[in-house]
Amino acid sequence: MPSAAEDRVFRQAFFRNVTDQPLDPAKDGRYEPLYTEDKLQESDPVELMAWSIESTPGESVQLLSGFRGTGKSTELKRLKNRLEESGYTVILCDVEDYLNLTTPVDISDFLMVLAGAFSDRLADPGILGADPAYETYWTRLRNFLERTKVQLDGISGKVGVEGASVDIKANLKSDPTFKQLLQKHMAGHLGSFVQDVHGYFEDCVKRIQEKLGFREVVFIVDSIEHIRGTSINAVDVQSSIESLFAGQSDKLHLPNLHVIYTIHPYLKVRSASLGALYEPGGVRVLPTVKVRTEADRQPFEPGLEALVRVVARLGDWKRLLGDVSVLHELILHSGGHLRDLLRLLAEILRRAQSLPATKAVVNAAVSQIRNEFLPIADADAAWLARIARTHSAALEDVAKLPDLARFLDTHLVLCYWNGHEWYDVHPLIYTEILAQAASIQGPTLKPANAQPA
Amino acid sequence: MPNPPDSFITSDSLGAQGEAEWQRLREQVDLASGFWLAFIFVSAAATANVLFRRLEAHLRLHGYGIERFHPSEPSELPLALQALQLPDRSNERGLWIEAVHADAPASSDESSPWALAWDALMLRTNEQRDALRRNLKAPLLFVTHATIKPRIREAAPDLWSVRSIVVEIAPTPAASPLPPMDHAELDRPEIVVPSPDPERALEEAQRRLERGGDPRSALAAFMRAASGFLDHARAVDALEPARAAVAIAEGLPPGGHLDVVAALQTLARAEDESGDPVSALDHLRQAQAIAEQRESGDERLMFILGDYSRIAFRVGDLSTALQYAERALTLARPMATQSDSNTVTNLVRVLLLIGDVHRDRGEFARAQSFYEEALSSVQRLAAADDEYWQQYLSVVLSRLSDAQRSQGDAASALRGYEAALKIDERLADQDPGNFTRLFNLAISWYALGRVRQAEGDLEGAQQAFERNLTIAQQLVADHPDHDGVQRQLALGWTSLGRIRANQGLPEEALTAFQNACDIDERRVAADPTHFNASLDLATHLCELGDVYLRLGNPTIAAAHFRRSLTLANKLAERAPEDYYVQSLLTAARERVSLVQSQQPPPAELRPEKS
Repeated sequence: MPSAAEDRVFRQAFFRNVTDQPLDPAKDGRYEPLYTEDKLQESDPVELMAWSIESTPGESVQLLSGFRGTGKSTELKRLKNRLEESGYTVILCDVEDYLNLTTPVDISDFLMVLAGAFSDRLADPGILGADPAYETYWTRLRNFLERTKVQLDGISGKVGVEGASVDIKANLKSDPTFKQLLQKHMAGHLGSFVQDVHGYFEDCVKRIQEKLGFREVVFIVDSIEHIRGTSINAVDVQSSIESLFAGQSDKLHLPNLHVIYTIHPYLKVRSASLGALYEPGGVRVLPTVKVRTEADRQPFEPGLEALVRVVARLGDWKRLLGDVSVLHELILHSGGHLRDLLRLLAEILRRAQSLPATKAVVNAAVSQIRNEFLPIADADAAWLARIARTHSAALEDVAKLPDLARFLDTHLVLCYWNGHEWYDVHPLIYTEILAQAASIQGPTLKPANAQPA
Repeated sequence: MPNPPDSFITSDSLGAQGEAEWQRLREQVDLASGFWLAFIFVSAAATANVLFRRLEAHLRLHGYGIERFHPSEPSELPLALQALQLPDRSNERGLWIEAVHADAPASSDESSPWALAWDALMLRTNEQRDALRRNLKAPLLFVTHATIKPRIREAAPDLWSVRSIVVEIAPTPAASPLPPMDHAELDRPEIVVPSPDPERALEEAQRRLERGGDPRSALAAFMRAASGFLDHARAVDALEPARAAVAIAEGLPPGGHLDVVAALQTLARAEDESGDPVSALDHLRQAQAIAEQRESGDERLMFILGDYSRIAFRVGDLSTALQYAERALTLARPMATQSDSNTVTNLVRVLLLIGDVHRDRGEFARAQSFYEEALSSVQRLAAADDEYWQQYLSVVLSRLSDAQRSQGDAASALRGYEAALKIDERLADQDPGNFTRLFNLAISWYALGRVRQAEGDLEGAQQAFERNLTIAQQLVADHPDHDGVQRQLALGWTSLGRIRANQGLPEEALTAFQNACDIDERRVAADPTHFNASLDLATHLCELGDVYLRLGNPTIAAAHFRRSLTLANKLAERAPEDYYVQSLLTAARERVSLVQSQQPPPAELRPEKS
């Protein structure tokens, strides 16, 4: 029988394992493949994306729609490994490092960021490294601006002096006024600018192939879905993203490159035919792990088993929880959302003074995580109740798209896949939502199916 | 020597729920390593202070230091992370970023500077989360007001992740309830009809009565006389003409605005203001019955119900006060329209009254909801910078803050009191001799002082109390017989007394509390049925006793405690539902038990030595 001190050491080790940072599937023993299992997913999104690239020689574009906390960045790393094993050079960048996420984006600054980010990654060892002959994009951009005599008077970024590339890059992210003025000036030179950027990518691909031998290049651009705006300008920012992907798709096809852009799920809701602009890959979805069936909300065994395996890689859950039924209960409470499942475990680890954790401790942990979703505004509750009932996004007015984005970002709403996408309200607040909606609207709403445990 | 009750002392306890949350945070420190995040939601800066002290000590046991970033302006908050980038800063040192401030109630996004500042900080932190994870090897804690919680979750969904803990400490209701504030009756807007000369009106009325002729003519004159006496604060003189008006009106057929209902309302007002609330209530009941029978109109009925409620409230019959006020509200709400400010005034008065009733029943959350409704009505009109509505805005903000503070939400209360004070200062500056404005200003300073004291800002509290006292002394000099002013002066002395006690100056505290009690004794002597005066005296006797106890004189302390308990028992007979009375009763009983357990029994009961 372990002593209290041993239990404490166990809890500490388990707690420190329960983190949510992206894993490298090739190296991290904690990685559990969730998308390669037939019973769980009809098809593996990573394989589908890889197949689209492999069957489209030269260049392609596709979109990946993923929800926060579902393991998207981990799966992108898996994709990177998969493609590298097949002989591709893969460049992975994160636009959060370059773009201000709270201001509207247009095609000119987006292309600047793409090219700049690509350029920065080329300097990594294993690609071009520190090649003195290599012109960074920021230098090239400076030359373009000088050539086209774009007047930057009054803009805080300095151009035309040594080291100016750092200023443009930094100001794009940190100075909204600079970005706005740059956008305005570039509007009159868009055609030549796009040509220049595309030309830059072509040059880069040539350089890579000269150095590393003939191999196709894949460019993965992550975290575009994080561009959301604030409570004040969310509508404008999200409209700008929509305009970018729906209205400027031709410019986002980069020559001689296979490109994958991550997008926010709301874009698919807003532009149903978005996938057609990015053939052959279209839009792939990385859904939440399904733990209940759509039709009758009954537990879905393959989902439960997969997440049990995930938890098993983090620590001895039997010692922590006792019976597998307790772990199943937690998984159902999490709705299959990895991050929420790990939060539940972390909370139990904090509270459990003896092992296995008592029912009271488990219940208290569930209440704690539930309370972190609350309070919910009445208007939101009414909409969420419709989502619970219809399993659709239930978007009644396009102007409410930022709210839908908010629901998805904060996982009040989870998205699953059944051959088609379907939505459900997070199980931890399911009962509360229905009760709140009923109290506002009168008892006309009935839950679609059985309540979660 | 028993410890005195902690009427002066700021508590270090977090309450039961807060202590459980502290245990969770402690476990987080013990289990985690390296970088982790905490989101801590509290309602009072004092709570944050307690948590920080404990956490700093606990982290030290684990070999971590922590520094505190505590901006005083919203514009400073988004810069918090720069504290992590100072060149000689160790990565093993955590950072506590604290801004427990509430924005103005019912405000839009554009006027919520603290909420927007938190949005900006959270967005930046979310963007930098990978760099933070890599570089910072110690905890990062965000401490803010509970109202900010939904925004943080939305602004930084990735931060709200596994390696973070959310701590929420529910507000702890104020240990010592604020005495209910009676703001001065607000200056009415321009009066259409000048107040009549009551003596001349009375003579005219008697002449018309003697002459005979149309009785309505005499009725009108008697009503003018009664109203005139009331407007000149001569309620006793108003009684006769009001009774005469009722007698005449009872003999008239129904119809016209001057009828028996109006006469009964005037009589009730005169009776109430001359210290006969029982008769006043009787006559209002009569007026109500006739008005309902004759279907005299919603507005008239609303006024009757409101007056009835107000009197019932003043005599301590809270249930009846609530019942009548709720009925008045059902009439006032549909009548209120922004284009007619009188209807809004009526609505706001009823809302404040219902809020006050709930407040005095200890139902602070309910009180808050009514005050909030009053606020949203007033804010729209006050935005036009109309002085009358600005005064109302200040009163409503104060009431709302009282309710928030009573529920333990000191941060929101502080915000509200500061906003009210700003209005009151501006209005007093614009009309320096105006009694109402000065009086309300004194109240604002007092209330601000109390919440600053609760938050541990003793210097700020002292400053506020001294301002209250200065204004109250000036008002007493100019209006020596005004009960409200006397009360404000007494409160000023007690608040100064508490400060002196906290400063370890019991002798000076004693003087201050004695001054307060002397004033209260005079108020009670002037009107033994004055409920609030008796409540104030009983409360201040308790506090005076506490000081004597601290000075090591339990015998005198016991005498004051017993007298306080006697008064409290009488008040409880009169108003059993009153929250303040019940609180006082509990406090007085505890103190009496305390001293009884420590004092030797009386001589005749001591065992003889063998």
